[in-house]
Amino acid sequence: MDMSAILINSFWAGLFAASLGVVLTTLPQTVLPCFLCGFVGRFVRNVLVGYGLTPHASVVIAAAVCIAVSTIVVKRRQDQSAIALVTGILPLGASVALFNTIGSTLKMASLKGEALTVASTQLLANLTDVLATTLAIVLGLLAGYVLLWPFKPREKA
Amino acid sequence: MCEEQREIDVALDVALVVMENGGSTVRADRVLINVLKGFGNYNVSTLWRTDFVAFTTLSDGERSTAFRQIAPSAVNLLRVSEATALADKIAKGTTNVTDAADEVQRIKTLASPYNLPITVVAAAITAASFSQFVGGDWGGFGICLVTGAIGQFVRSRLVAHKLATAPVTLICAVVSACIAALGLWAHISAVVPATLIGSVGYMMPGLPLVNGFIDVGSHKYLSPGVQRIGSAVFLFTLLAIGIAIAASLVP
Repeated sequence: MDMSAILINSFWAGLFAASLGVVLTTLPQTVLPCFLCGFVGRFVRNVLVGYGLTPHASVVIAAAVCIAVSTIVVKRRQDQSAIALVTGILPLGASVALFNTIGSTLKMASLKGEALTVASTQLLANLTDVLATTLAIVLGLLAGYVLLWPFKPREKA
Repeated sequence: MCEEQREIDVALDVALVVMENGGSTVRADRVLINVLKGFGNYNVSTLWRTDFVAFTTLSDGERSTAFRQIAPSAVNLLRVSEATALADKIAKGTTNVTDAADEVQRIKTLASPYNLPITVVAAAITAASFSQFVGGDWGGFGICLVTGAIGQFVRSRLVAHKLATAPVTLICAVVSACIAALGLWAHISAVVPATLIGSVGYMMPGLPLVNGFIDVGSHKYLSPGVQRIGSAVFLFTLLAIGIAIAASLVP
C-alpha cells in the first residue's frame, strides 16, 4: 500500500469538495469541513481498498465515516452539514463509470455486429458499477445515520 | 388583510426562500412549521412540489386551499442559512410579524458570499482536482483549470441573462469539454477520459442530488425528492452529451 499516493489522492478529493462547496455558495466557515469530508472519505476508501476490501464495501464504510465527520465538524447547522456531506461523498461516486454509461448509451444506436456486442458488455459492466457504488453510498449513509442517532441532539417540542 | 393571513404569508415567504435557494423540502417545511409555531398558528397543512406549494388553512371551522408558485431554484445557501436562523428566532418568540416580514425582504436581497472571480477560481480548482483523483495527469490538470474557469465565467453570464438551468448546463458542458478536447488534440495530456470528465467536474449537480435523497429519505416528501433526483440525472445526461460531443473531436 503506497501511503503517499493515497494521501495525495485524498488531498485532491478534499480540494474538490472544498472548492465545490464555494461554487455551491456554502458559508465560508463550512469550506474547511467540506475539505475534511472529502479528504477523510476518500482516504478511508483508499486505505480499505489497500487492505484488500472490495471497492464497494470500502465505499459503504467511507460514506458512514463522512456522515460522522460532517455531523461532528459542522455543529448545529444541519443545512451546512448536508453540504459538507454532499461535497464529501461525491468523490466516492463512480463518476467515470457513470459518464461512460451515458456516453456508451448515446453511441449504442450507431453500432452494429461485434462492436455492438462489445459495447453492450461494457455498458452493462459500467451500469452495474454505477448502481453498486450508488447503493454502497446510500447504505453507508443509512448506517452512519443509524449509528449516530443516539448522539444527535433532540429538538425541543 | 387579517392577522392570521399575514402570519401565513410571512411563514410561506421564509419557507420559499429556503426552497428557491437550494434548500431541501424537509428544511423548507420545518422552517414553515417553526415560523407558524412562533406565531401560535397551528392550522395550516401543506403539500410540497418543486414548482408550487399548496396550503390548506382552517379558519372559523372552514377549510380553504391556496397555492403559491415556487420560482426555479437558484443556489444561494447564505439565504437558506439566514432563513433557517430567522425561523428559529421566530419559533422562540423573539420576532414579531412586521419585523419578520422586513427580515425576509433583507434576506431575499443577500448576495452570495463569493464574488465572480472567487467562484471562477473555485470552479477551476474543482475541475482540476476532479481530474486528478479520477486518474488524470498534470497536463490534464492544467487543461481542466482553464476549462473550469472559462466554463464558470460563461455559466455566470448565462445565468445573469436568466437562461434556464438545462441549456446553461449543456452550453457550458460543450464549451468546457471542447476546450479540453482542444488541449488533448494538442497532446498537452495523454489521459483522455479523466481530462474530459474533469473539464465538467465543476457542474456536478450535487445539490439537487443530495436534496432529492434527503427528501426521499424523509419518506414524507417522496414526490419533490424524486423530481429533484430526476433533475440531477437529467443534468448528468447533459454533461455526458457535452463530453460525448468533445470526445468525437479527439483523434
